[in-house]
Amino acid sequence: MWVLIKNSWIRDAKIGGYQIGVFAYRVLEITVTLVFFQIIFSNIESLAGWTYYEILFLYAFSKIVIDLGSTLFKVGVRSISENLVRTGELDFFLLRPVNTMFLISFSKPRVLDSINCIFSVAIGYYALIAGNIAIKSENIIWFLFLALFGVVIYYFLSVLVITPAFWVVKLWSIKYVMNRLGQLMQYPAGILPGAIRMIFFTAFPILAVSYIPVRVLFWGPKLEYVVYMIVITLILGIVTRAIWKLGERSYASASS
Amino acid sequence: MRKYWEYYKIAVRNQTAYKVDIVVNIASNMVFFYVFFALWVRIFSQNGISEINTYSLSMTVTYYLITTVIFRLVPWDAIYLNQDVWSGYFTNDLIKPWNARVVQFLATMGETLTSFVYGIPVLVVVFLTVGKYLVLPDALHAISFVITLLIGFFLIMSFVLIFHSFVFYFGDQDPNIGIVTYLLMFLSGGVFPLGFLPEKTRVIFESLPFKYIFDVPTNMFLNKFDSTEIALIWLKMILWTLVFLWNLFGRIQKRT
Repeated sequence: MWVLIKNSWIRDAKIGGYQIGVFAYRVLEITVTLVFFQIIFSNIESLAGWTYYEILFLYAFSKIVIDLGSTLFKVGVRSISENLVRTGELDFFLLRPVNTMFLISFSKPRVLDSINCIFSVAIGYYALIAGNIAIKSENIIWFLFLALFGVVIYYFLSVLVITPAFWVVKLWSIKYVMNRLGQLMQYPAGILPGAIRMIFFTAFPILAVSYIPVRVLFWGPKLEYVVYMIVITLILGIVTRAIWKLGERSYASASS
Repeated sequence: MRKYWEYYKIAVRNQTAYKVDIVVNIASNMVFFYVFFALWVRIFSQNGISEINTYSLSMTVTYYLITTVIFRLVPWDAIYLNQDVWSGYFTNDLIKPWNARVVQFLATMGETLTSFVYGIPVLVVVFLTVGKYLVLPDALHAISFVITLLIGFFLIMSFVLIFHSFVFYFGDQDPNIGIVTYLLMFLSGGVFPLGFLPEKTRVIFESLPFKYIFDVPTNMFLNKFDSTEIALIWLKMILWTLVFLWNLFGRIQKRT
């Protein structure tokens, strides 16, 4: 893993202008989002029971999860739909005596993308201070514990979304699906109607990634939340792994 | 002329080769609309708001639907001048017996129009699911909307190409183009109606020519302009397009 990180640093640090562009994009994205939230909250006091600063923190945390994903596994997971299956390069990963799903996912970390977290952490910190949000230390511990599960759920969902690439020749659009669905992580679950909310907590638990940990941070842990996060992570892991295995079985190498 | 027609047909066929990719693309783009739909319905209904700066809930939902449509028509994702020059592929177009600028334009137009056609199922689904929230234009504004989109296509293409043409002077512009297009999306009303902005900020945004990309055509659809204002809008759009084209062709002419 250390070698992968070192290679990533060498590869990405060569093109200084590129990383500056990424930072500039992130600053711009945060500015636009802050303006958008300001517009919403200039007309209302709360949204689905969440205040401006609570939603700001939720947004910041969802961005931290996305940035961690981008650092650790986004490029690796995307490479499955972009070229690994289509060109037959997956063969080289299948030959190795390591779990293929994890090997491919973490084969191309982007270490410099982790620096984007700084902006999100700053926004989150600002939201807590400016919003005078009082948090118990017990809540922080549970938040960190559930946040870990949130990141794992995000990983499994990213892999699950990309697995159709095993059966379809060219599926480049699928890499944008998680970007789109990631929008749901930025808002309280209460904005969605009941049935849709249920789907995004069960069949495709994207809401669990950020909503549950942040809710626990603000309003304290509940046994059902903790049990839910552990169970849903396990089930999602098993399902993702099973579908991945099915995909591997249907994979027919394109190379010699 | 025949060679250009054949080139255009290939550009279109290239977009339609992979059917599943098209379906996934359509589905993922619908997510953008439905997330904002849920958000704004919640904002309006939870707080008993009837309108925000002259925009009712119906107008706001229609605004987001129309911007979803316009996103499929803006050519900024279908312009490859930067990649072609940076990779050297542009040289192929220069030595072939056709005008390199014309084929670049045809490729962009082909991809954009195909992308728009793929957006039609999105419109149908949205109309069937949330039709009661939509505002429809009268005949004058419907025709004006289409003409405004057409002029807007050339305006945005000529502006974005300016940044692409910087590749002739400064090398790969990919990160810069990404930042510029995101900024354009914000300044042009692609994220939210410019009418939601506070008065002083709105004046600045509306003095820029970028409002003609999303905000003006969408407000045209919402019957917000009279015939005199429409004529003035078209005149301004054409003038801005000429200014951008003059800048652009001056730059490319020197380098090619």
